[in-house]
Amino acid sequence: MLFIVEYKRSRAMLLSLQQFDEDNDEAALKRLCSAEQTNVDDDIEIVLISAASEESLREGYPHYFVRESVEPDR
Amino acid sequence: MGVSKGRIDRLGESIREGSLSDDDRLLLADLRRTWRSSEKQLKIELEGRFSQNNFQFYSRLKNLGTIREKLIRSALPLSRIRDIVGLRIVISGGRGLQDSVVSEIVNEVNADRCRVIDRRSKPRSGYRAVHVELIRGAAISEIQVRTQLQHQWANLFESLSKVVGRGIRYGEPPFVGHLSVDAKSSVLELLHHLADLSTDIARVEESGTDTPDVRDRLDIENSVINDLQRGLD
Repeated sequence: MLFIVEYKRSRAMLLSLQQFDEDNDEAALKRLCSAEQTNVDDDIEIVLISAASEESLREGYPHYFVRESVEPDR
Repeated sequence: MGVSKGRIDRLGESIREGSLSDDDRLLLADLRRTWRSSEKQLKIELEGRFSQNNFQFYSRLKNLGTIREKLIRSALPLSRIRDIVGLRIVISGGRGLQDSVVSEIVNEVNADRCRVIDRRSKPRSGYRAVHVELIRGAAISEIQVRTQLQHQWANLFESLSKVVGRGIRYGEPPFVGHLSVDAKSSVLELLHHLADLSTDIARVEESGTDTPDVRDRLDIENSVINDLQRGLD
């Protein structure tokens, strides 16, 4: 699966988590570019990660999930 | 996609300056498709090669913010940044298995050029792992091969860097201006503990001994960092 994580560093807060099928690269990349273009806050990190599942993502990148402000978008 | 190195490096200049034109954004989108294709192909290949092992595989494209940070920090042109495409394998074993996985990647995965960066013997700010840089055509990828303990340690350090700035990854002092007096003191203590843990992880992995003490300490530091993160507002 592909995941786009939006994370606010200074508050260690997950702002959003979007999920795409591994083969849906085009949509994920489009979303990534659009999120970066509209974001004006250097404190917000936007990253595209590929992991086997959301569970695996949470194991591999636990620092994004300590505080979650919204329900992940599935 | 045939884009000259010169054009890619001009894009890098725009990213470094933080002034992307519409053309730059289109080029970045095109490059990302190429990078993503390399990432996907390599990940599938590695997952297939090590499918019998209980490894965890991750990959990511470096984001715009961290590309910019690297361009500023390293002064390298965009075409020479090696970890825009990053893959990570977390193995279920110790140093012996880590060596054999690295060796298999170097010897069996098709690449024009390959370089091993062993951060176990030369850790950076305590970070230990083995990285393999692969060059295939115009695409440069970096594969991080980590043991579970190295991975846990790296995640703790990454978590802390989110709170006190990524500069700690490069030996810079932590940024603590936004923290309370207690939190500042926790950060300094954490940095010492993580440095000690890094050394101890290397020691137990070299000796192949059991690691309950190290695992317990990793869990404790994880709780401290989580508390620190939860206290940010």
